[in-house]
Parts: sequence; structure tokens; C-alpha cells
Amino acid sequence: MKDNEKFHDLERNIRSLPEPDYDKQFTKETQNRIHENVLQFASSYEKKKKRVTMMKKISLGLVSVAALVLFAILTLPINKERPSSSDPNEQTTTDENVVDHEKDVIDQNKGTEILYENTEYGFTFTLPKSWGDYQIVTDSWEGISEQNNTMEHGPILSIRHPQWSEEKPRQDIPILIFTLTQWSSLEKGEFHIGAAPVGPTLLGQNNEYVFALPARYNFAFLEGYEEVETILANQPLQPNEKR
Amino acid sequence: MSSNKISEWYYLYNKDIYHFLVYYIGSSDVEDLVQEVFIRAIKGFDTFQQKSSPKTWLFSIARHVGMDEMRKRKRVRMMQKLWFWEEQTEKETPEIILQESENNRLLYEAIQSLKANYRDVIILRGIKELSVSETASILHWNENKVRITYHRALKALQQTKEDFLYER
Repeated sequence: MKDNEKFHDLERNIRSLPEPDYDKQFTKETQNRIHENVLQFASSYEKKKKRVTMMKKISLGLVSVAALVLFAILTLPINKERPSSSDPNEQTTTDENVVDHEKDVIDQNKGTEILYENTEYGFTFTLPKSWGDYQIVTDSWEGISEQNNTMEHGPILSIRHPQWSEEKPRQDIPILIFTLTQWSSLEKGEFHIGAAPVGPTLLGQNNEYVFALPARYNFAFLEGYEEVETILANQPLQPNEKR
Repeated sequence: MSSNKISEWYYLYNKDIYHFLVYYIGSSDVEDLVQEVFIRAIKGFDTFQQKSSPKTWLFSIARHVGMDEMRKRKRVRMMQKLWFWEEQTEKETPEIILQESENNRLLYEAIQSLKANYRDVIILRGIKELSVSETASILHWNENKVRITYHRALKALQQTKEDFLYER
């Protein structure tokens, strides 16, 4: 017999091998029971999968937060150390910080300070809040030449403490106002103010005027002279440029 | 979503899977294995590629379940031999075959004695009458290999069957 014919017979025999008797061995009840078990497993598996996914998301979130915190912990000290860096290129930044710090101090003091602004001559003057109802007293100075002739004159603005009275005068803050030319002449010694051997102390200047404190302004040691000294020590006068 | 699909496939293919496992394992007691096939299908549903057929995918899972079961039974038999429980080591034969003719029984025993890949291809191509491409998809072979191996398996089966006849 040829191989192919043999194989055809064999294949026919293989195909004729009986199928299971499903009604007896794999009944409808068995099939339904397995189906139920499979569905039950599918449902619990879905829930488990969702839980795992949720846990993964939570873990990822926690890891991200932890990484962020770690990053912040690692980077913040570095930023803090920057001002003490010896790199000369960073000097500017340090200076700015100092300026900012000073600004902050002023901001903090804003509640305890008041500002006198003079628009005629162009300057501002910072005073303690206790000087709230101050007065401005106007007077004038005279510049005397070597020949004892009156050569120059100009205004004096005195900031007067609110508690000043005739009976009990307090220390004023006098501000001499010079034009730029007058100040130049004064510095050259072309004239002098009063009999004091020393000239006025410069407080500030803008493009038109020079502001100065008279020599020996506090020679009488009136009440409050120490407070005025403290005020003057803090550079209270800020010139504004005149247009 | 996956449970709906699996439920649908269960009613379509549960008998085919049962039939395959009965011949693969050589026992009628394979209900638990049918359940195991569909449980593995649920677990691996995300890996199922929609381009392949669910039938061949389920048969592929069933084959792996069958292989695992065979290994398990082999281990049990070895343990039994080790502990001299010889009475339980006899190879099982499905009742359906026992009830049939002597010729079918001989053929069945000849199939069971073939080497694994011959047995796989005889059960899938011969008994389950799957196409060459379906068999190739289940066994992860190319179609040519399926044809050649099937031919060789038939040859080997014929020889084994004749040997069995001669021995009797």
C-alpha cells in the first residue's frame, strides 16, 4: 500500500476518534458552574487590578512629592550660601541685597516715621512720628565777607518740634539753603556765616540747591537736642532733582 | 470589559477546549483545567492582540495549561514511585476511548506515545481538525513547519501503531 493511502486511512481513523460525550462528562451544569467561577474571578481580578493601578498612582504621587521635597532640601541651602560666596562676579548681587535690606528696614519703620517734603527747594526730610505736628519756621542767613560786608543771603528752614513753646523751647532742625554758586563761594572762603570758625555741614544737594546744617546749631543744648542728633545721624535729608 | 469578552468566548469555545484537553492530558477529568484556561485568559487579556483569533489564542493557553498539568502529573508519578505507590501509577485513558473499539484504543495509545511536537500537531490538525494556519498560530510555527511535522508525525504514528499491533 502506498504511503499516501496509508496516511489517508490513518487520518480518517484519527478523525473518527470519538468526541467526549458532553451530556455525560461535561454537562450544562458543569459548564455553567465553571462560567460562574470564571466571571467571579474576572470581577475580583478587575477590582484587584484597579486597586493596584490606584496604588501605583498614589505611590507615584508620593515619590514625586518626596523627590520635590528632597530637591528643595538640597537646593535651598545652596541658595542661602550664595551671599557668602567669594566669587567677585556675585558682589553686585550682595550689594543689592544690602540695599534691599535697608529698604526693608525703612519699610518696617514706615509706621513710625513721617516725611516732610519741600517742593520749592526739592528735598524730603524723614522725621520720627512724634514730630507729627511739626512746624516750619522760615528765617534767613547772611554771608559776611572778609571786609565785614553782607555779601550773600539765603533762606533757613527750621523744622520745629510740636511741643516747642516760648516758655520751653526745644531743639529745632535748621536747614541752610544755598544756591550752587553760593556754596562754591562759601567753600572758597569768600564769605562766612556767623562767627563760628567752622563752616556748615553738608546734608545733601540737588541740581540747584545745597542743603546744610549750621555749625554749632545745638550750642544751647535745648531739650531734645540728643534726639535731633540721632535724627541727623540717619541721613534724614534726601534731595530731589529740580526740573 | 474583559469579563464580557471572556464570557462570550467561553460559550463559543469551552467544548473545543475540553475536547482538546481530554486528548492532550489523556483523562476526562479536565473541568478544572478548562476553568484554568479561562482564568489565565482573564489574566493575560491585556496581552491579547486583537489581530489574532481568540480561538487560537485560547488553544495556545490550553496547550500551556496541558503541559503544566502533564509535568505536575509526572512529578506525582515520580513521587509515587519513590514511595512505592505503584498501584496508582497506571496511565489513565479517557472513558470514551475505553468504550470504543480496540482499534481506537490502539490508535489513542500510539498517539500518546509520540514525542511532544508530533502529538501536538496530530491532536490539533488530526483530532481537532484545525487548519494549517490555525495550528501554526497555536504552536508559534510557520505553516511549512506545520505541514512537514504533521506528515512526519503521521508516519511515526503509523509505525508505532504497527509496532503495537505486532507486540500483541
